[in-house]
Amino acid sequence: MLMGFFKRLFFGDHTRLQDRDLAHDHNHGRKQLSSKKLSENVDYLLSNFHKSNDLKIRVLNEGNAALLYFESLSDQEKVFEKIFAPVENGQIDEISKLRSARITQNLEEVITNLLGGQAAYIEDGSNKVHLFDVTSCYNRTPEEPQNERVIRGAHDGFIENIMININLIRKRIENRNLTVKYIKLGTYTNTNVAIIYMDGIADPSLVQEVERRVSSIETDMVHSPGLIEEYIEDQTNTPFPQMLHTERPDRVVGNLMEGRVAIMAEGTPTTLIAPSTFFMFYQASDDYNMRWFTGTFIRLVRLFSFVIAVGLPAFYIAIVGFHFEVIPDELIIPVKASINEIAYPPIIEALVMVVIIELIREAGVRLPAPIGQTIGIVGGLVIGDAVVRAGLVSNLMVIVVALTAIASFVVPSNELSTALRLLTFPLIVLAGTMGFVGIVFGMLIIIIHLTKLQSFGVPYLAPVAPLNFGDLKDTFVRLPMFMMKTRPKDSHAIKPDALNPVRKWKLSDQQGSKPNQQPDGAEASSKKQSDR
Amino acid sequence: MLSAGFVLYFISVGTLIIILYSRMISLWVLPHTPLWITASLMILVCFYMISGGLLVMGRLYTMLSVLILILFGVILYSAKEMNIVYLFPILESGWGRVFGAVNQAFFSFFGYIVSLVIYSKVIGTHKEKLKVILYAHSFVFLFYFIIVFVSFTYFSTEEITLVPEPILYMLKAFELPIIARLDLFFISIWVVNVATTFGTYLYMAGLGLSHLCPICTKTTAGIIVGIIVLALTLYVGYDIQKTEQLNQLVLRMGYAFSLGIPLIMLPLSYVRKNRYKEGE
Repeated sequence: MLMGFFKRLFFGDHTRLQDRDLAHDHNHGRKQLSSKKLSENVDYLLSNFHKSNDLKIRVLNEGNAALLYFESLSDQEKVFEKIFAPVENGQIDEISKLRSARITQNLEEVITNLLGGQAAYIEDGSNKVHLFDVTSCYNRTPEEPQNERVIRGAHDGFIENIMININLIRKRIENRNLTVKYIKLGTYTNTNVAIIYMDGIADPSLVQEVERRVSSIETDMVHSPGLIEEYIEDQTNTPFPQMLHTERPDRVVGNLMEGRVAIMAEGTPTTLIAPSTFFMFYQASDDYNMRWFTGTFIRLVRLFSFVIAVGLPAFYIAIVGFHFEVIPDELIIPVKASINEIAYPPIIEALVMVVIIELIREAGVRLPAPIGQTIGIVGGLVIGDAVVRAGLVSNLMVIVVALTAIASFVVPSNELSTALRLLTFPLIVLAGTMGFVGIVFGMLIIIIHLTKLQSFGVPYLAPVAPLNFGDLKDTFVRLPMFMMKTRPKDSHAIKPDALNPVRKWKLSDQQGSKPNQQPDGAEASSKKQSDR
Repeated sequence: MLSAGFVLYFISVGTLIIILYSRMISLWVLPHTPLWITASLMILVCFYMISGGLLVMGRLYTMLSVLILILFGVILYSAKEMNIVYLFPILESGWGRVFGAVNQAFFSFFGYIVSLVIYSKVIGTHKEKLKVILYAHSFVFLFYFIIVFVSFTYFSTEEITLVPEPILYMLKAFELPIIARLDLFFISIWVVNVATTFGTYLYMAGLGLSHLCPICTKTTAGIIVGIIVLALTLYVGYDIQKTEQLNQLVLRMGYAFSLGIPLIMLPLSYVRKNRYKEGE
């Protein structure tokens, strides 16, 4: 004991370290000094919580001390384990001498910490308040998100607890450069929001911009990532999402390593990624687990689905309504025969069918899973069949609309898929009034709009407009991983090269040297990593 | 004064483009659609296009230039039916006729005045810019050359005088297993190219106007130019005589503004540059 004192006296640097607890620190600099009288302190706390009934007060030491905590926020077992057990076991004779406590004299700090699930121990005759961390949390397991399933690869997903979410990321990037910044949002809800980025890869001005936008939010509450997204996105008057939503840690990690910034919020598994480009919404984690041939093929199918989802009904209507001559001769009679019987013009048919599909989809989503399936069968099969037999809609139109719906669900991102289905309507109207010319103008407007959009200063159509041939490697196609040597330019990463030659073993094989060691080159690359 | 002339020139070129495009649409695709709808739709879309500024236009044009490759492909597909014999005899009636035809075709190259207008707004060294301009010219030359070559070898000497739109008539004759009428797709893609062309003129006219009148922002200038073009288009309409007059006017103005004035300005700017140097 004495030795320790002398050691500190002679060798220590004598600066007082402060507790660093940014996640819970949000009392806005308010201060209320605690008094030496127990009853005054307890009264102050009680009145500030408006005598809420779940604030539990346990009187100890025959009324000379009190332990306060929210029974709804704290774990009874932890209270016993951390506070009472050491005393009862005789390790220590008073609770106030417990080492694990944090001591404060600011009652406002006590209030915020009580709200964080801590317990406060106050003694009569002392103005020190001892705080114990007894938070209880009820978390579900980090299981795979329902809306972003993959066949191969990681099967975990974010949950509603931000600490566990950050843990999932930190486990994947064991690097000192992974930086987390907390910001408290919502004057009432005090939601914990984390901005995560890789220092040294992410562009500092981008990080600053994200921080500026997030911290400038002044609102009573932030309860969903959709709100944060709408507060900080560049352009709100557009159907296109400008930030990627994901619940997959591997996807977030991939994007962090590309130099993007992730925004997380307490109480939601959805993470926002900025800046995002149009083509990012068409990338799925599965692409990178497949062979690059199949990955490219699937990518192309997905992008083609964009054209189908937006344009197929319009195209059909334009052909049927204006340009019958486009269809080859053999097809004209069957097409004409199926349409002739229908009383309504094709544009009405299409609008009705597209709306019906949306009805079925929405009903299926809102209902519990077993009934949802029934709705699908009733809606899809029964109505689809009956509507054709009743002569209300031609069977070709049913095919077209069903294909369109399927194509719109191919998009890995739910928000973009909704946007696509919404864009179908104006194109149907344009095609119904002006045929091909209408479609061309509609598409032109969509493309102009996409070109104009920006996400945190990054063009939305990034590798295509402005054109960058090098970055096309991960948009329409998914080239082999060893060719992805540089990070995409659109993330503005300040460290452009992403990998050392990963297939170096092959180079050395060709040179005919060292056949004796390193069968797979993994060791060589890891050695190079550690050299840096 | 000179700017006003340029604005007028750009407006009249824009009007001519809109009229020719509308006539093509009404002849080939939508015979019953009134002129004001096709014209105003085009002007509106182009106004939306230029409202993003030069940067967005550049990005957009780069992306849309992929469509030209499709047009290329379609034209080359039809080259399988060509007859080189139709070209002969070459230079039968002398160089005079050739230059007469050059005069007619010159219109297509007048568009390069745009490179002079926006020259100072583009980042890059003079050498890079000149290179890009040169590439663009040669690409356009190649494109036109192929079009002319294919249409003159496809149709015989008598036929070509009767056909107003040789490429479209030629494509109409082809039938792919999936698509029966290639010409309709050709026109649809061509509309996009018309939009980019007209968008450029609209931008330049709006730019000039916003320099001329100090109150106008670029947006209001664009709106004013758009309305003027629409009014002129509706005034000329499908009247062939008036269109021909406008065509001649634009051609003469083109010689003056795209060729004459830059050529006069070049020595003038040298003289002024020297005088500046002496003044210093």
